[in-house]
Amino acid sequence: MAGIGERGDLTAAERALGLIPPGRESVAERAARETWEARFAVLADLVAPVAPPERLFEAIEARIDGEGQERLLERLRRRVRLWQATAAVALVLAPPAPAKRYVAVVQADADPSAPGMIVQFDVQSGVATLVPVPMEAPPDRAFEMWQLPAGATRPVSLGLLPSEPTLRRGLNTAPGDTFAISLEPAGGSPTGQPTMPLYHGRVIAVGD
Amino acid sequence: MNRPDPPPHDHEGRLLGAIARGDRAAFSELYQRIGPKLFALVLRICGDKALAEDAFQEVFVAVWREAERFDPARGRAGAWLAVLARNRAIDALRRAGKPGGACSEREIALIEALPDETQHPEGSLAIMMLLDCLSRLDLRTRELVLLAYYEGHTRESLAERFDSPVNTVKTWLRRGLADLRTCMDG
Repeated sequence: MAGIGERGDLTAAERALGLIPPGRESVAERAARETWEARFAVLADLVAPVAPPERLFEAIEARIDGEGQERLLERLRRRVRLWQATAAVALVLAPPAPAKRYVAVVQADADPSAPGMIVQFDVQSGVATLVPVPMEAPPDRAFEMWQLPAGATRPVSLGLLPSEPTLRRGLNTAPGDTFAISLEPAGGSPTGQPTMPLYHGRVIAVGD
Repeated sequence: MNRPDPPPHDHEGRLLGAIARGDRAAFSELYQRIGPKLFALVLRICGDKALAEDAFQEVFVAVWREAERFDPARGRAGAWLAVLARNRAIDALRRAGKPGGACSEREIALIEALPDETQHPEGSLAIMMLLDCLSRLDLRTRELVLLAYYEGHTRESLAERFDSPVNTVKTWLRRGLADLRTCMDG
């Protein structure tokens, strides 16, 4: 109870018990409350466990589904950077082995640290996974996805950007392809070509 | 942020670390391990089953969202989780406009289940110490403290329950808490 005195420490105890509502606390007051919380926490162990109804876990899972996506994306981006680095080294050290997966991180042209979508393509199954980063289009506008095969000059529309991770079959891709996202009028590009390209990313092979 | 790893015996602490990195398997495991304990605590505080189920969901959604706020340097994961669960239960109680004390019985059985010592090898000493110190308080003060902890009472609702002025209850409680601290620190 250094610095807050006897009265302050007892107030911290009352806060820890919830007898008085939480309020602004100094660092010392917070430390004192946490000490009291730890003293009382063992009381929780004295209550006989009660199994929660099974549906509760499903309800909790439904609420947090997708929330790990931000964290997942951050890890994916880190891994992609690592793959890019190791791929460069591997090219020097060994003949290229057939890759099993391709990845494109579609990043904002204005801010390369901001991904708009990650495309993963599993060569064996032929299934592409599109993982969009949740972002809101301005009113009466929509985001549209594009694929530009290596060497091609005109991108092909892949439809509007989905709001959730989506699996696609028949979306064949290879290293050197580019994926992009553009801003379009609601409903998509009126011309069949991107109106305002905002994000792009090139496909790389990442092995397994 | 650079944080020390939880000590090896604090398995829940390690799970919280994994959850903070988005690990759903760790989340499931933590739920299996401590869900029944936290549900019992929340049920105890809320009294009402429907209210407790809502609050319990909030607890685990908060575990998922706020796991990174757990700091092993400041204590064990079990205590952090108990505080989180208790706070959410009290929030639910207050939001529902209940003063606390949804349980009808006045007597609180101090020990409803023997603490599982194999599960809390280093927690059992703390339990024994707190129980010993609580047993040294007079019956009324002990009841006040336990009702506050287990049923989420405020000073006002305790005053009503004990049919005494708020200031008197406040004095009893503060004296009791000071005794408790002296006993536990001694």
